[in-house]
Order: sequence, then structure tokens, then C-alpha cells
Amino acid sequence: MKFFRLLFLIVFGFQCQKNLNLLSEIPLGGDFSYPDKKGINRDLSSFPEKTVVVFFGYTQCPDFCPNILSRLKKVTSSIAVSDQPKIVFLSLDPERDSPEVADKFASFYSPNAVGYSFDKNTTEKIMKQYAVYSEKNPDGVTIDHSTYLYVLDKNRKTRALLKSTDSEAHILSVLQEMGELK
Amino acid sequence: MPWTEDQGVSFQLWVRGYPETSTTAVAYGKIKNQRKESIEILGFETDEFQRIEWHETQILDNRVKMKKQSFPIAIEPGITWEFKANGDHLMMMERVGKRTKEELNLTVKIKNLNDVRIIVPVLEP
Repeated sequence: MKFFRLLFLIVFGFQCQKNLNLLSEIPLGGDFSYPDKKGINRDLSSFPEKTVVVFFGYTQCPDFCPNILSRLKKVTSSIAVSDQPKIVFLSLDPERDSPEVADKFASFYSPNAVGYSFDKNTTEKIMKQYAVYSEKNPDGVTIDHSTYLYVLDKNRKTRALLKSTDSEAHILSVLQEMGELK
Repeated sequence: MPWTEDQGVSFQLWVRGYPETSTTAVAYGKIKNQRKESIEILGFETDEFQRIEWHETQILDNRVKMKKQSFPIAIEPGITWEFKANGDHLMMMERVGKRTKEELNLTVKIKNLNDVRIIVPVLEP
């Protein structure tokens, strides 16, 4: 429950700030550095892109996760190449998603995306860092999960939370504003 | 996209392209009941996936939830049922064999009607 209270406060605060057109730092998410399931170290600071968008999902998700990735592809295609964000898909399904599968899934739907898969403990640490909810369904295949997109600046501090239901125009305006941040 | 009609029921379905590593896929589109009575969909089958389930994606409080719908599912006369992103969709699970890149054979089982066999295109994501 603590996570959800924190998330609510952050989102509420963000909504208030949004009207002021400010993108202040949000004490949630941010950079990490862990070896993936193949032992390759993964972090967010090694990308040259000024902005990183982090999204959580799983590769056996046929509807929601590809939709988000496809929408990001569409939105970011209208941003100048030099300002386009890196999209990072983080698997919530460490048991079934290998790093290769996660990466192929992400890049298939959005060419500027990478997919990472960590072991269970690391996945849980990152989920805690981002206050992500996830619960596997009794069918053993589908996973209910939170849907926020975390927008990180060049210092890999979280500056915005986007909802999956936000319009493409809003997502675009936030990403463009991020591109203008010094 | 053209409709396929059989026994008074029309279909306009498509599968979203999926990566070769995926074992699941999704079909969207429409089913229109042009009969004078309601129909009951009993299920969908294809050789390329072990099972096909009718799911509804629900987004509540910034959480996504997948709700499985149980067959049979009735469609009243004159009604067009739509499968769309982040809504009702056909979830194809446990892929067997190679990935389909262009089209997929789908069998629709409807109560008191012959099985309907349609060819469903696979479209770019």
C-alpha cells in the first residue's frame, strides 16, 4: 500500500505541476545498473539519447504492451532524430522472458526500443524503485501490471510520468519539452 | 479490408504481426451478425496456435488487467462486435510451428451453424 500512496502523491504532484508546464524531478524510478540474465551489465546512463522512456511489461502480452510500443514509435517518429528518446522495455516476467526475447519483442514494435530481462530478485528491486505493480493471473500466462511510462532526463532522473491513456499529442508535448531541457 | 460472409455472419479480422520469438499473438477486427436470430460463438481454432481465448483488456487506476471471457458468447442480430486494441481481442496462445507472416487460417465455431473457415491477414504492427 505504501507504494500506491507514494505513487498517488507523485502523480498528483505531477498533475499539479503539469499546469505550470514544469518538469521537475520526481523521486521515483531513475537509473539502475544490474547484470541481466546473461550477465551483461545494463543501465540507463550509457544511452547517448537525452531522454529515456521506461516501460514495464512482458512479452507474452499480445495486446497492451505492443500497443504502447507501437504508439511510442508513432509519437517519436515526429520528433527530430537527434531528440528522439530511447525506449527501454523492462520485463516483469523474469521466468519466461530471456534478455534476447525481451529485446526482440521491444525492437519489433518500436525500432528505437531495447528490452531487458533480469533475474527475479533484480526485477523486484527495479519494480520497487519504480513502484511498479505486477501480478500473474491464474491462467499462468497473463500478468496484470501498472501502466505508467517513466520519462527520464539526460541525468536519468525521472521528470514525468505518462499514463497509457494519455493522448499522443500530450505524450509528444512532454517528450518535446524533455528535449528542450538543458 | 474486405469482409468474409458465411451463413449470414460476416468477418473482418486481422492478426497483428508479431516477432518470431513470440508465442502469443492477437487478432482484431469485427464480426457482424446479419442473421435474424442471435448467434453463439463457441470458440476459435487455428493450426498455428494451441488455443484462442477471447480476452478483454481493462485499464483501471493505471493498471492493465486481462479479463478472460467465457464461451459461448452471444451476438444479437444486427450487431457488429468489434475487437480492438486495449479492448476485446482474440488472444492466440502457445504458438506451434513457424511464425505466420502473411495470413493465418482461422476456424470459427458457432452453435447450430457449420464451422466457418476464414483466412485472416497478418498486418504490420
